[in-house]
Amino acid sequence: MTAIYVRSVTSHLRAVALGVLALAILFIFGMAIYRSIDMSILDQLPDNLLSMIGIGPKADVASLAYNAIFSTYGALLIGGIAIVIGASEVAGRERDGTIGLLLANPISRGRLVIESAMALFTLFIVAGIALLGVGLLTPQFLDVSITGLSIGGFVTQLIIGTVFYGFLALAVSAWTGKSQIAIGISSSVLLISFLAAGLLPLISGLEEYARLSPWYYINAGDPLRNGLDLGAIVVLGSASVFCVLLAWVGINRRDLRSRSGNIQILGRLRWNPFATQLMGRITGRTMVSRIWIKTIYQFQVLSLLVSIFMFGLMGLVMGPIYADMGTTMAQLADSYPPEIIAFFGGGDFGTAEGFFQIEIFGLVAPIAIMIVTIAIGAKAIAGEEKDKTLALLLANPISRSYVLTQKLIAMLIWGLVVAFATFAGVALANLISDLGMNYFNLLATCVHLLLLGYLFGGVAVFLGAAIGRVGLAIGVSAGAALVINVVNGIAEINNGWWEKFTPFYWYSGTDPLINGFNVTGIFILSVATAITIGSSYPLLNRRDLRG
Amino acid sequence: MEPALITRGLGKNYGHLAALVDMTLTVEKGVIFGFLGPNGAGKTTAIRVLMDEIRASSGGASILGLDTHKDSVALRHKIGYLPSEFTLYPNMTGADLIHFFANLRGGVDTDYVKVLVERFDVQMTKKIGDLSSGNQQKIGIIQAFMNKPEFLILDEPSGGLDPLMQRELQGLMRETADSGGTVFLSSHTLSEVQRVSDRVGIIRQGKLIALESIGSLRAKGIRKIEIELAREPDVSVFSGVPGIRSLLIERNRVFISHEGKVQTLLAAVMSKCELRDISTNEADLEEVFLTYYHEESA
Repeated sequence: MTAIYVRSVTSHLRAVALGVLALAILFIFGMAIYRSIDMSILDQLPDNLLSMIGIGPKADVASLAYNAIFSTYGALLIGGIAIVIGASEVAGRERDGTIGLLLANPISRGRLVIESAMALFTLFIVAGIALLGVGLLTPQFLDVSITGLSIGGFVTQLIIGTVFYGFLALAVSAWTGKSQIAIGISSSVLLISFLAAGLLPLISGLEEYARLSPWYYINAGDPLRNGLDLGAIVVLGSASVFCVLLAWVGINRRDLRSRSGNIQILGRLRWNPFATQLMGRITGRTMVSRIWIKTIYQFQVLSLLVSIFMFGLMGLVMGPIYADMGTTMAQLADSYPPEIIAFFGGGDFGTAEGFFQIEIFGLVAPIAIMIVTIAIGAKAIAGEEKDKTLALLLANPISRSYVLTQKLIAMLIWGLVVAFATFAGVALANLISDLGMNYFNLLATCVHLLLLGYLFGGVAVFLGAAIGRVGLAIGVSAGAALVINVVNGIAEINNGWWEKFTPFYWYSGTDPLINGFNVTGIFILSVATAITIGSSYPLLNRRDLRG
Repeated sequence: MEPALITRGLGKNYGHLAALVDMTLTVEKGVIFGFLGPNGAGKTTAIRVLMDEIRASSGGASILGLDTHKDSVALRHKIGYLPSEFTLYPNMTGADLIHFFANLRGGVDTDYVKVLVERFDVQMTKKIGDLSSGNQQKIGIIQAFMNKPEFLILDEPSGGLDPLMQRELQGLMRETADSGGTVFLSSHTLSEVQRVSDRVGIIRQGKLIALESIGSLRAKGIRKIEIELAREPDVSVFSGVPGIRSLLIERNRVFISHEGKVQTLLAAVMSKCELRDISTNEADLEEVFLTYYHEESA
């Protein structure tokens, strides 16, 4: 192992450490809260339903904390970090223009991939050890029994699973040289496999297909109770090795890029001579007429991918799935005690509204819209600083505030597109599968969703404008969203008084899918967004720009 | 006439590190001012303060009568700027970028842009990401000159340019100055400054250590002297001779950088050796610069 390995480990260590820290806090907090709740209500639930919400059968305080926080939030978070690292290892170096100098040394491309993979593996082994420590020590301090639970096997399976997603991103990054594509494809696989592993076992006739989802193997064989599942490790391990081999082949067969930009779907068309003529007539020089329009173009791939994902996969696929399971769900729902309904985020599982609340609006839709608003918000100013384009931009007679406002317009527009795609997808599902949901309430939910996206996008804008560091702005705002969401979830079960202080309560706590618009919620989310964004202006104007 | 640039005790600190110390400077209109210094001397820091990218810790500056901080937006209507390390948006073509900046700036004469594009021979229809660094630099230069600015700030503008294009750029700077504009040229390429500048400021470790006209800098009288002797001299021949700044003996040839009266040097040499040949050259700015640099660090 050489300098590449060491450099990769050290440069990503902070991101991994922050992820582990966030997860540790959640876990400690979660276990402390779960301890104070009467868990006997969970015994009344059928096993497959518990599996679906990521708790697993025969829930007790400890396994609820491990499964809900480590296996669900943790795997999504750590998997997401692994994807970002995997994508940045090859393509990120091409984007930054550093790969040329690196490979000017007597190092083969293959070795670059192998050392990158080893670095990623090392980082997550370290993360695993840290999580194991947290997982073993927390119950000691909180006096929660973990007798009969195999924390080691559970964490190992979790880590091997997340490393797979990192290697997948590495492979895509090595084949395409585009980190945006690598992140886009791998995180789509992550989300789809997460949903598939949860939903497919519930659909009769499709149960076995869950095994096609990599996520399935993170919990296959219930490692928390039965210890490490060797079969799952073999599957995940082979898939990971296969991805590294793919990466090795990929990087060796193509031309490397130097300081490449983002991919531009519309841009592609512009390089085609026929399209150029046509586009020129239609759009003229629209793309470069205003900063906000340029920013719209800049984030088209990410935003369109997320919008298509929300419209197609979420909206269109979820409808038939619910229609298929509806009867079973309704029967199950009749037996729920009210506490359980609260646990599901206030949604009633037996209704289409409840199902969509839990499956789409609970976690996936907020993640989707925040990916877009946080990315645009964090990069608004800090991205231009990072790319060293801000000095030239501000050589023009425009103020810093003007640039920020223009970027905000792009964030508002793309957020709106994602929210509308979600609305359109679910509305279409409602229509096709005749689910009987109220369109006005669906609209209300999507407006609440949009405002939630704007709020956390605003936090990213604030951090990016105040500190000028993209990574920190994205990490802190996404981390804050995650922590607040979990706090909100716990508050809902526990009827915690603090519930009304979390934005997630004002997003979904009033059940807009059932009750429609909540004026207070809309007011609070809007004011919070306005304050966050408004206060980023003076901070931006006061500080030194990074160059 | 009001000067083009005035800085008064301009300073910038990063914690305990002083990147720019008490820089007081006046640049008249219609001149090319060479801002010289080694890497890390504080040239770019000074420029970034002038452009209001970073804020002065002390002192202040005005360009064309406008405060560089308070009136920065109004000022940028009149300024052309080329940063030292910049990146152009890689997904745009050169034409897109110029169009984008022209939209932001307003009032750019497209015919003049065409003239500049022709002069610098730039491919404007290719994606910037696919252009060589020299060609990207040319696009940077075009955007700096395209609004016919009254005041130009160029930070290491020749990087990546071939000699022909360097000359084109120098010509453009001279035309700007001749038509009443002012050029603030930061560089460590001394020959470039020597060729185009009217006045020179030398900065080192954040401090402006000299402010001279090109003529008076040259008049410091530093010469490069090459002497050929009958046989290899002992180094003691030159010890104690006043004015020797550097000495290199290669067998019977001696290379000396000398300041002051040549007579003293020759007398010392001829009293001990047999002189065969001698040639002298006026020192270039490089040596003058090194002289200042050594003096300050001594």
